[in-house]
Amino acid sequence: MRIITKHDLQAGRKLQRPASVAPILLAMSVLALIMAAPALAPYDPYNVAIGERLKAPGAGHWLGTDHLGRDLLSRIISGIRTTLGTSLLILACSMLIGVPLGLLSGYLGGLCDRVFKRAVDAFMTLPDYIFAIVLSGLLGPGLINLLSAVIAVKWVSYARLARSIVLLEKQKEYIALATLSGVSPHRIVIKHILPHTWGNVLVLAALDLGKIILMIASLSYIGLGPQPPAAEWGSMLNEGRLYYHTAPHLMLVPGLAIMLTVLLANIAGDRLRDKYDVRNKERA
Amino acid sequence: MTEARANNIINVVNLHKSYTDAHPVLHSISFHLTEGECLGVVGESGCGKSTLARCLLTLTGWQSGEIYFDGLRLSGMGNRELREARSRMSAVFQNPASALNPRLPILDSLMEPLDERKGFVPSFLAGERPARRLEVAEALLATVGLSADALFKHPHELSGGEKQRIMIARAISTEPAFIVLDEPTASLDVTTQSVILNLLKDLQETLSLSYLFISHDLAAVHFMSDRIMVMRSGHILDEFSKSRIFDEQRHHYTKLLLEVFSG
Repeated sequence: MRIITKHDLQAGRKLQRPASVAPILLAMSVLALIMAAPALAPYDPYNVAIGERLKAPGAGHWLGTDHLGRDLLSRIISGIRTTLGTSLLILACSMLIGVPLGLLSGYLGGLCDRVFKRAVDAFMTLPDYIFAIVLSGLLGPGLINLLSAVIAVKWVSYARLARSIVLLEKQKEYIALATLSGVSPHRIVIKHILPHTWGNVLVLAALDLGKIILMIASLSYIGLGPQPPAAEWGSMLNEGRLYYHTAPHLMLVPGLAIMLTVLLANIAGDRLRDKYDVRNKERA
Repeated sequence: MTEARANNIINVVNLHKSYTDAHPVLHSISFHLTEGECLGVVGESGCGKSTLARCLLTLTGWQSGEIYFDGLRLSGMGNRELREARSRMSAVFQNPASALNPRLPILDSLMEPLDERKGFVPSFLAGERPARRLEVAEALLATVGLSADALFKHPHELSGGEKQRIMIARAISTEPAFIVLDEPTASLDVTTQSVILNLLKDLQETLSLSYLFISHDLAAVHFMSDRIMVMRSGHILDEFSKSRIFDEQRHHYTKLLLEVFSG
């Protein structure tokens, strides 16, 4: 008989899920870009040089300069950290709040679940943007307040998704057998149910990323996000608005940065959905 | 219908269960199961067989009546007592695909009950002296005629029969006093059904297990059971020992089932 070691089992597990490596690599690349952003910028994004103001894209400044003579490329690169970093932080917080709440509510059921469901339904009736604008307005402008307002809007969809997965999984017989074996409820949730949520949560997060980037940029555009001189793509768009006729690149560059990032996020989301969404597999 | 004997492993008295007030699923069910006995339960779909099984396994509550497991009243038990009682029960369900977590390798699913009882080694494996977790798992699989290769596979890589054997190995791993077999062969082909039924029968004799065997298949119930209970719409219509199956006094619904069975 072949002697099987723990190492074989671990290796087998890795081979079973090679697809899980791609999203991890992608996430690590994005994180590396966010961390390295200041080092990649050719100039100090906050360095004011009035003599260089409103320069068109050229050799010295590849994407031109803004109304205070700051290098636009450096500000766009710096904005990666603000816009994309904030978006990822919002996604992470929304998942960390929503998924455990959804799992708990779905698994416990009863009154707890009914109260939770009503609360979530109440949140879902409010349009995302209006709710976020109202909350940001109440909390006041600033990055932390913007972050809180968007998380308050976004956690609900993760909680709903996690709850629906629990409701589906807890009907299955392996959960009944685990209960019978004496596995405690919290270990049943962590060992048996939580792993089923990751694929769907990842797809939702990837599809949400573009929406969150747009939401942050929109709120910043109307002055509810990070305040000047912070380099944030939405607020840069707003600053460039006044010079649209004389220096259109001030709006075009951050606008294109937002568009391309949202496009890439949506493509990544679609790919992940194709990979993990059960409904797609059933259709195939 | 119910005898209160000292060697009853299960004693059910006037059990009443309903999911909604309008539709009771079990109406004043009373029966018993003695140690080492196999009680077959037959009846049409929706008659309450599986709900009865879930009540016995304490996986669902009931409105009134009592279930005694090895003389202990199950209702009103504390968490620790309930856990203790559950550790002496086990189940094999109809669909092995749903009974195994698709994300876990077989080793983890198989060993879950034993992992909860750290250090416990079933006495029927004692002669082989398995020391490590992996060795216990291999010995358990050998009991149901499977090789150790299956341990490192995921459920989708195994056939229905193999999965059901794994569920049987898991069910007997803690040496339970009572096992619910809820249509364990319903999703299998005829050849595999026969192999699984023979395996269950052999294990019952070797380990003196008590079975509640639920099935649509009267032939399987006849082969496995010492006594047979016929259910319809949440009621027990008939209960008799296997040797008296063709008695004239049988309920007309039982006769109908027997006519179908005899062809």
